Amino acid sequence: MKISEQWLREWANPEATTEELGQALTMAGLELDGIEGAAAALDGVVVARIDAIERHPDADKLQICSLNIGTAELQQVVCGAANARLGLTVALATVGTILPNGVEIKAAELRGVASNGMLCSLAELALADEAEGILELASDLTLGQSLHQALALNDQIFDIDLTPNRADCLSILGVAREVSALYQVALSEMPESTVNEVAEITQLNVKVSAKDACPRYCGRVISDVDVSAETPMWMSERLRRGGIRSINVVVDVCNYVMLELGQPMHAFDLEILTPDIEVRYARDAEKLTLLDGNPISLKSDQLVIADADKALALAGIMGGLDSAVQRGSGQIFLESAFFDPIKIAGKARMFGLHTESSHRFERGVDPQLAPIALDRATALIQQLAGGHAGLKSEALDLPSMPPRHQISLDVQRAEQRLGVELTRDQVEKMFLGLHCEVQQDSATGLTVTAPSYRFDLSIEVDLIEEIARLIGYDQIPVAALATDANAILAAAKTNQSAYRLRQELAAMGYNEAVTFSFIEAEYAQVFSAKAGKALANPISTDLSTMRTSVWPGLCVAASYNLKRQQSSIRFVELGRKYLPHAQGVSHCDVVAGLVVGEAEPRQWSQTSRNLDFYDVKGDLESIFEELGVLSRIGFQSTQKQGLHPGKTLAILCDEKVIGSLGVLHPEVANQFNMSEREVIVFEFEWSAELFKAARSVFSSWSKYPTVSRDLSLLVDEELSVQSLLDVISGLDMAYLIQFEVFSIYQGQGVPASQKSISLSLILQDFSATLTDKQIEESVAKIVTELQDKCKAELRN
Amino acid sequence: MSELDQLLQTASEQITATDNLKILDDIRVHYLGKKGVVTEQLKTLGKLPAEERKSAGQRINQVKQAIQALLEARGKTLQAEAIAAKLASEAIDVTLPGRRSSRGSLHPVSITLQRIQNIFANYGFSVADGPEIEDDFHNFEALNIPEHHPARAMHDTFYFDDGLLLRTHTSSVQIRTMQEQAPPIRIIAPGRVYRCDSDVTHSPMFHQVEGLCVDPDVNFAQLKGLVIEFLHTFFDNDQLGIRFRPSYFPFTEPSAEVDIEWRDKDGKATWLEVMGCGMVHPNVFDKVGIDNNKFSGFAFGLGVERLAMLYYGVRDLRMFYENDLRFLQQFSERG
Repeated sequence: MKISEQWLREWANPEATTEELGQALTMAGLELDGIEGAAAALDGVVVARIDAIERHPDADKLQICSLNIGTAELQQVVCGAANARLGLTVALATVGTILPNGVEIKAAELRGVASNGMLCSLAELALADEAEGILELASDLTLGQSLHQALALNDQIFDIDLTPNRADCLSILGVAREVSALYQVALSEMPESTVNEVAEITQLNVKVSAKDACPRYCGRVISDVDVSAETPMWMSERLRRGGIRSINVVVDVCNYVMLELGQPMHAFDLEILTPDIEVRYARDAEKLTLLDGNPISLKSDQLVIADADKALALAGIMGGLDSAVQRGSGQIFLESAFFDPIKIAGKARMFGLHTESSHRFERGVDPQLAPIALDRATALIQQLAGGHAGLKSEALDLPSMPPRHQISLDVQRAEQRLGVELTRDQVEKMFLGLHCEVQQDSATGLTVTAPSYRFDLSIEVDLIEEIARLIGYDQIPVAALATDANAILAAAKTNQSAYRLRQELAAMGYNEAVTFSFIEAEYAQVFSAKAGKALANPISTDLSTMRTSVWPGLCVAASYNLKRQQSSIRFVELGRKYLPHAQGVSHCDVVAGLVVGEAEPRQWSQTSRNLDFYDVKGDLESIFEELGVLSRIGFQSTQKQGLHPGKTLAILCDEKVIGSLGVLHPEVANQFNMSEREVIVFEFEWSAELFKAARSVFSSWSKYPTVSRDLSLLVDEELSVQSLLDVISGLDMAYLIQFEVFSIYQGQGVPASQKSISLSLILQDFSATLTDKQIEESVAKIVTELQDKCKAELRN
Repeated sequence: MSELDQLLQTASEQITATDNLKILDDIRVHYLGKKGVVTEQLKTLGKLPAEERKSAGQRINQVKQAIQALLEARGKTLQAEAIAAKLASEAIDVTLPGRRSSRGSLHPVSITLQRIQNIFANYGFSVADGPEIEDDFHNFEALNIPEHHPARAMHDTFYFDDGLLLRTHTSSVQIRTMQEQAPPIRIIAPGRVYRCDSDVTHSPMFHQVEGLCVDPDVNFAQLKGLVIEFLHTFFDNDQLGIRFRPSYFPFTEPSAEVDIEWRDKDGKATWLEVMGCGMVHPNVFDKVGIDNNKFSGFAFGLGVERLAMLYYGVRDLRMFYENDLRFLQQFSERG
């Protein structure tokens, strides 16, 4: 909200600079977004009067003005504005002035006539977005005075970002009350608004059917208003500084009172009303065209102001187009009401609206303010546009008015919650300063009744917050939080697991990525048969569906980097995927990776090669080893949507599938623009419980020498190495301590559809050096078993 | 010149002329081997008269020792030369780059989260977790944000058709923890949160850490103490200016926003908001069945990317999710 410092200081004027005042507001919880000048510098623009005017001899639309700027010599300016006329007080930009739009005023000749300056419009002075004709100033201004001074433009605007609880500060009065309490300075009296009511003017009856939503409704007929009267400069300037455009004198007065006191008001064109006024809930599908021209269809929980026939306005939000006060219509009905915040809340948003009025009513307008504001606005309208005021109509339902809570406050509790020392008298003084009623109950107890505009004060803790605010948060001492050693130990246990894993992965060359949890709907079905859970209000289509796999996000990220000439990518993300099922959706924490490109950084002595399936499988084995669970992990050939049918493994932990590893299906790789190289991906479920490492237990080793034997076997090329190794694992071997594949060969010397597998066997006895016989028998046992089970033949 | 002198001279010449260890060994065999020239001489001693035998023996031994000494000296020289030559031939360009394996990196958000967790662990705050797809109760209702509360409009919530939503803050974990666990409670809840908003300073997904302390007697002064300790440790600056100013969160009261004094390159100081905090609102305790008269609590919340941006000097929030390797590889957990 924009608050003019000048206007504010008319209400409460502490001895503080602009910056100090702004700082004090921020520290009181009225956060300042900024302070800015009310107008551009406007050096060289002065008040002048047209003392003589004549037609330009050579141009129909130009006039030659002689301007009085308080000196003996008149200034001659050629002006094209239609409203330039004799005796008019105007704003003259003298030669040398640089206007806010950057234009410099120079002495010139217009069609042969000298012109020393320019008569300015509001728009040219950046005091309005648009303007018709030159600015017409009040005739009592001092000629020659700078415009800045004449219009009090040396004002600063506080832009305050109010929190929703402080609706009471949505006005000059409200902020002034706060300043008065903070600086303990006087608050100005409400402006005198004597209204001479004319009883003969027909009153509009007000019937409130929805008392719960509208406990108070005040209104008044004002007849014969000159709606075409100009809004005076001082008022339109204040509106402008408050961020509101001038519309017409009646609307401007309503807005002015809203800025000043905080009461949103509305004026209806009486001529189109069919008596009387009714405040009621809308009928289903009732139609109304709003002031902004939008036709809406109403629902029965929406409050309207209606006449005998039709809805006129969306109560507390926006008026209707048809009943708006137009120029020329002189009969008006002025509304000043209190609507229950709960009944207004959320209603504007249903129509995509957010108005000055709805903003205030949703948060709470002082219920005592309606009649006061009505008189204030009436008086101002009469002052500026004439007219005769009728009697005030008021519908007040006391039981529906918001209660004024009597709040018990235990000063000791306030001390405990804040960690400060307080006296009852000190606290009492604070609340008196906030215009609360205070009663002393006991040695430490007070009963506080908040003023009607403080919707945020209803329970004890609300008062404790006020105490803290008035002491100043910075004045509250700083205390240490004592910590139990057991709590530290417990905390340490919860603070490890995933980070270790991240560090290991980074040490292995993986760059940790963080991709969005929502992806394009289509991507959610690349690796999953089921559609992902869709957002009802996505920010864009590419972020519309909860991911069913982390891979699509990593594919997008990898593709992005490949496009930027990265030659090697190892991505890992630890995150959540969201799996829809019949009962709803469940989530699963996974470790997911994507690998593509060169295996090692380019180096002069190495030939580069691309990362492949086995690099990543090895990485996984290393990770599982690091986690201390490798012995529980198994791999099984499998097929998975989106992956290469011949290059995919299921990852098992304790025989249960926990994830998979594979090469992207070429079509999928193509979909993500990564068709040039093999892209390997993996994903496995992760939880600290699942991967709780077994304790390391020491085992002894033999001191006798090991013996190594190599075997080369011919087997069918379809035979998986794992099945061959499984056969050996299944044997009861006394001396075999280790065995591994060290070569796979197909080609010359190996019959077609067969492959050669070379195994290395390492044998050792615990209690003696192995004899040749023992060795030969062991090897023979393995060979025989492999011949039998795998149809393996020994090569040479 | 005696025969022996001649022999010694010849041997000496041969040894000096040799630049090959193999030939040098041949020379040794030739003179000193079992059938060597000097050895043969010694064998002839027996044939000499007894009185000459001694002096002749001495003489031969002198020659033998002389040759041996020459052989040894030459051998050493040749060995040294051979080693020097071998070393010279083996020299490489040691300035060529070494063979490295690829180093990976942790995401700055992970590093920042862990730093935050480590600091709070020292104060006994355990890490708690909760679902990201949340219900209205945990994300709003129980946090004293009823339907139509203006604070809801400020949250820009993502909804699902079934009424569930993506949590807008990790404050929802507070509620889940208090429902499951009796006080005293000290937890922090790190995780992803979602708001329907996107520009240079807003991302539809970002990370928050929520903290909660419930105890028979904790107060605002202690909350201030903890927050100050945290920020001083996090930014590794005990002189960092910190201020608390009143603000509004429906689930805490009193509520505060925390600003730190930040200096730009020109040394100009501005206050930057980095955290929100406050005393747990009694309505929140009521929702989870904690007795307001027996317990008090405080809660705090911070944006992880916000802190990471300040710590590392990142300007554009969106970079955290682009996963550009040039960005990811810049951050080390050591500093």
